[in-house]
Amino acid sequence: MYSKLLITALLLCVVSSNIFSQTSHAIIVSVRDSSDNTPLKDVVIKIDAKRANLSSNNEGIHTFFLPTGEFGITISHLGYRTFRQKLLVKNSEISLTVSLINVAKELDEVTVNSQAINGNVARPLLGVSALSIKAIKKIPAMMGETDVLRGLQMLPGVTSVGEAANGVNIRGGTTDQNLILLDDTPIFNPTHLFGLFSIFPPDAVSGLELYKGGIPAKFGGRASSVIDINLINPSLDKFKMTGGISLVSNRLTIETPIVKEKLSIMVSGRVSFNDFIFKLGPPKLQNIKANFYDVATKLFYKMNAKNTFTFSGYLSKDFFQTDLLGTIGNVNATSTQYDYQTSNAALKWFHAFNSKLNLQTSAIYTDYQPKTLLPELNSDNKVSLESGIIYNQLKASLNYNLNEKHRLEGGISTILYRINPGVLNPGSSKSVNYKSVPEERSTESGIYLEDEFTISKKLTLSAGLRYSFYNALGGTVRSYNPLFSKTDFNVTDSTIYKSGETSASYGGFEPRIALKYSLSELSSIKLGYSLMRQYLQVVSNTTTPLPTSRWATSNTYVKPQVSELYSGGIFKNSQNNIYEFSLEGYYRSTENVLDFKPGADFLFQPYIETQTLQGKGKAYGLELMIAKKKGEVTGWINYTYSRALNQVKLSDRFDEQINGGAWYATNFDRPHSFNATISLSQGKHHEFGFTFVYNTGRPFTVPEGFVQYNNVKYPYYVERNNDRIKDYHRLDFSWTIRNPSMTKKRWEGSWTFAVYNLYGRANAYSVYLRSEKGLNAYQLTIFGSPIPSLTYNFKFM
Amino acid sequence: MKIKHLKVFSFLFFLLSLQSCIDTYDIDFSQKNNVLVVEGFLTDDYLNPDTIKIQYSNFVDGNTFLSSITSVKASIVWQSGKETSLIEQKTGGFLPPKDFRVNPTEKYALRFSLPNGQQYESSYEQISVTPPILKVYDRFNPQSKLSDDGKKFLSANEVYVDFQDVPKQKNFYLWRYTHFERIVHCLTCYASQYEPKSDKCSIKLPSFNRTPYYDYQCAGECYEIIPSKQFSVMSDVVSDGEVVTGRLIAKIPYHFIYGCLVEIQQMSISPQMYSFFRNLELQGKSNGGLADTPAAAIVGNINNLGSSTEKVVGYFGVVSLQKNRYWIERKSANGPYEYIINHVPFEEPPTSSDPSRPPVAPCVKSEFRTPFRPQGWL
Repeated sequence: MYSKLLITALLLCVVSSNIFSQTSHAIIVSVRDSSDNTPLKDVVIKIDAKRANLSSNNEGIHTFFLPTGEFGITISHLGYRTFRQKLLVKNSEISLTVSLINVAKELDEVTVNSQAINGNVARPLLGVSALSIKAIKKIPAMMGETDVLRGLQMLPGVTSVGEAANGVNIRGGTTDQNLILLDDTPIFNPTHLFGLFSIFPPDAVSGLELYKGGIPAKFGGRASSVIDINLINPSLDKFKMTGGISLVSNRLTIETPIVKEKLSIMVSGRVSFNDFIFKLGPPKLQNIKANFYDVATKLFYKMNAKNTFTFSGYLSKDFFQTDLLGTIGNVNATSTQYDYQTSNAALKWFHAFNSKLNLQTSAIYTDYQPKTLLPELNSDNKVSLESGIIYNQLKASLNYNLNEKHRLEGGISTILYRINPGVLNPGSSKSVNYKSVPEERSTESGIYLEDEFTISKKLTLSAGLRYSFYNALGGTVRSYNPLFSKTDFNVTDSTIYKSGETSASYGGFEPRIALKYSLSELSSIKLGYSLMRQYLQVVSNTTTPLPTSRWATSNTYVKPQVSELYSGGIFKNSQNNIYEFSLEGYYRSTENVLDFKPGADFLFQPYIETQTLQGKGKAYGLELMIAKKKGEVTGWINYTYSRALNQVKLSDRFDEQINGGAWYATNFDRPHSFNATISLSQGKHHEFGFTFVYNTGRPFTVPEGFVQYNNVKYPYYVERNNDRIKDYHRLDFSWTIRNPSMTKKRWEGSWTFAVYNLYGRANAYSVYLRSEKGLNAYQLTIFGSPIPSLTYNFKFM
Repeated sequence: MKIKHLKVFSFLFFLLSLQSCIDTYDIDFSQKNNVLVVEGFLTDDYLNPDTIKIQYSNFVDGNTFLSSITSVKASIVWQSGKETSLIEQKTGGFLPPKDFRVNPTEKYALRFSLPNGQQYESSYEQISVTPPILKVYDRFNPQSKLSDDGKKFLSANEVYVDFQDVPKQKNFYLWRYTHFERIVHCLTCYASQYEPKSDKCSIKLPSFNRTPYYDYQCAGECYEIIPSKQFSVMSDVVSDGEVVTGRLIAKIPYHFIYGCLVEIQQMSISPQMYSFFRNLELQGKSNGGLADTPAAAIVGNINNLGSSTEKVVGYFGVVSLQKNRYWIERKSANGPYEYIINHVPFEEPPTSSDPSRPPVAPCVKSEFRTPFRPQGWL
């Protein structure tokens, strides 16, 4: 110690004359590791961006000289977060102690893979991504609305048909092949404003897990993926309030204990009422009316150390009117209005028998009620078309950590679906009759067992087996003349089933297997196989389903979709788990994919088999992902090559095949996809975010030419999806200033300035043809210019 | 920054971002095809029967045109076994014999053969009773529809009908109309002037320093005959037995300040015919929006007996017509005109040296123009 002081003193003496002649002052900086206080040598110190002339010792003490004045000091060291500060040099020497944060020992800034440290390499999980709300909030938001689904689209294998898409397409699946769960309750319409924003309140969500490969046996009922979104658990000891104001909506979330350490509640609300701005837009937007609100709540009761109860509730409502959508042709209305509501509730009881065995029992209820309102000419009356799904589920799961080698989970589940395909309520209309299509009832049950078996230090097997069985109850089942297409005119007989009587039943095993072999502590290879059965689907022949699109369960003729997924991958992490690398490949084949006859119409159609076609689907791809999880610069980039193709040929009849029975690209077949999400943190107060998205343009149908029929030119289509719209790319930017007052208060505000589509790329949403004034093709762009936004967020703790 | 300032800033940002959402898109229309098209129905309007036209629709280098086929033999086949030959017209197309009457208990199909030996036959269709039109009325709507490019609204007089649906049976309806508009200008000459003796735009004008055309007034009364731009179909699935009110069947553009005449035809059609015309209606309405129906071939009920892969456009229907001629006053109409001649009229200026100029152009009678005042014109 004496020797160090001596060196310092000598150094001071040597340069003293210089100091006094230039009125310089010694700056003595002690740099240490924040976690264990180890002195750090060989650091780089810069003064006003220029490297300082240092003298250093082994104790991490660095000395240099500065004249009187104000300087910016930056201290950096490999593997540590850079330190920045303003330095005011007056008339004396300055001693500064700086603790640099070791990046490797930080908590992950972004989580884009399995949550446990090294979990992506160590566990037999394939095609699983976890995205924390912290990571989602770092992504520049469109119009200031933090959006879970847009965050999801930054992951490999996740795309959509465009900006106004009512859902996402995962590994070539349709939007209805994704099981979206919000605190275990299913979501049938995941977007507000016809696909512009997702319905998940950002302040109430803790994060999401996407299962697109190895889907755990506890999940069933969808052919493509599971998106498991969780609401935050309210704190049992602290009050917390967060919120924000943006152009689109205003938000407020409150978490508070009701009985400390026993009972707490979270309530989160979001409301929008800014549709007046559409009137100032181009003509196409002027008649839009659009408002929404959503409320999420969670009540948490810790009865004792072994028993907890949780109640989750969610309510969402939208009202939308636009000329961009067609009307219901058989009702004479002046416009079309959409009004749709989701009400979800889940009650869960968690009981721990001991540290190894626990039981979770849940009762789940979802009620999705879309409504189409049709104002009549010269009248105040609105005819309404109401439909809906009521979903009731009971499930229980038992988790048992048998020993270090076996982690077992088993459970049972049963669902009752009650689908109202459509009720027409004429109100006071004299032209329209009351009409309804009989309610469709069905049950779907499942039983499963799964074991994560650590066979050896290197080899782990996850083996799950689910058995699902489905019953369609009641209704009328027609017989059709097999020589003709199934239409209303070829019915030969009908069988009426009583309510509760099984009219059709399906079922089967659903194996889920994944194998992990560790190449080293930081790398592994994995193989997986999953089989999924889907009994519930959207019947909609539009590019993206509308919120009012009809849902239907399988029946005698509409067979369940069955998909088989084969996947494999290589996973590697860098030392200290700062970087993650993965390369995954998959091939999925699906039986009984749903497609539709030309001009299909499901309105008031009890027999959907007269409008539907079923065929085969295949999807395959390769996904490459690199993530940096810690440090000043975090984020991930990924590239995906994928294809999604369908084949439909029921017979040689024109209306029972598509493209002559050849394989054709689906609407969301986008072979090349590249996403980059970069977040740059500059101290405690500034953060910059960038996202870049590139996708091959999606397929659309170009006519072979035009035909003139009755003095009108019509496009003459021969093949479906025989061309592609132009490629999609977009760059977004955000700048967040946290706590601008820089004082520590309970109320902390932050501003986010974001620009969506920074370079104003006019990405085509769709291409359509018009022939009234010559033959012209037009592209519809949803956001064709940069969209700046400013959002104020706050938290009070 | 206060909240209201945030709102103002955000609002200004949003306004900046609201630019045009629709742009033209380049598609290579250089393909060639020719498709067999069959138009016209067998109707119970024996004074003005539909002409059944069997033609090729050709598409070459982005242009569509019809070409007639000579030596076609066509007939109406009765399901009971009888066959009635159709009579070929000099102007093209076929008409049933004058004494032909549709039997309401019979089913009919169209059969024809082309000179290349190909034989075609439609499915059988049966006439059903069409209820009369109870009332026709119109309403001027300044924002009736968007222009093709989506950049402005176009005004129109929207025409509605009321009728009594036939109770206790599934009914399907189709409407078509013919719109008569009096026109002032009968001829447009581009970069030239009209020469009445040759009846051509034969006087070439090398320098044309204003609009590149001259419009010439009609010699006397002249009426444009504008057929339906779209078919309108409806099912009574929600209105069985009710008086259907406010069915929009036509949007008549604001061509001129004077009134105009619309002849509306209402007909009951078969469910299969409804499906065909509904598909046609949807294909014509596509605007790139979220709910657009997928592109689909417009194939009706006419099949090539020797080749199941040939897609013939058109539907042979047997229908009963109910007609109504309705006068549109256009009293409340206002705003810019949508000119029939597709441009702002500009007449050749008179000159002192030649008092015969500008000449007037004759109103030449054709399928789309007549010098005779239409019945019902006020």
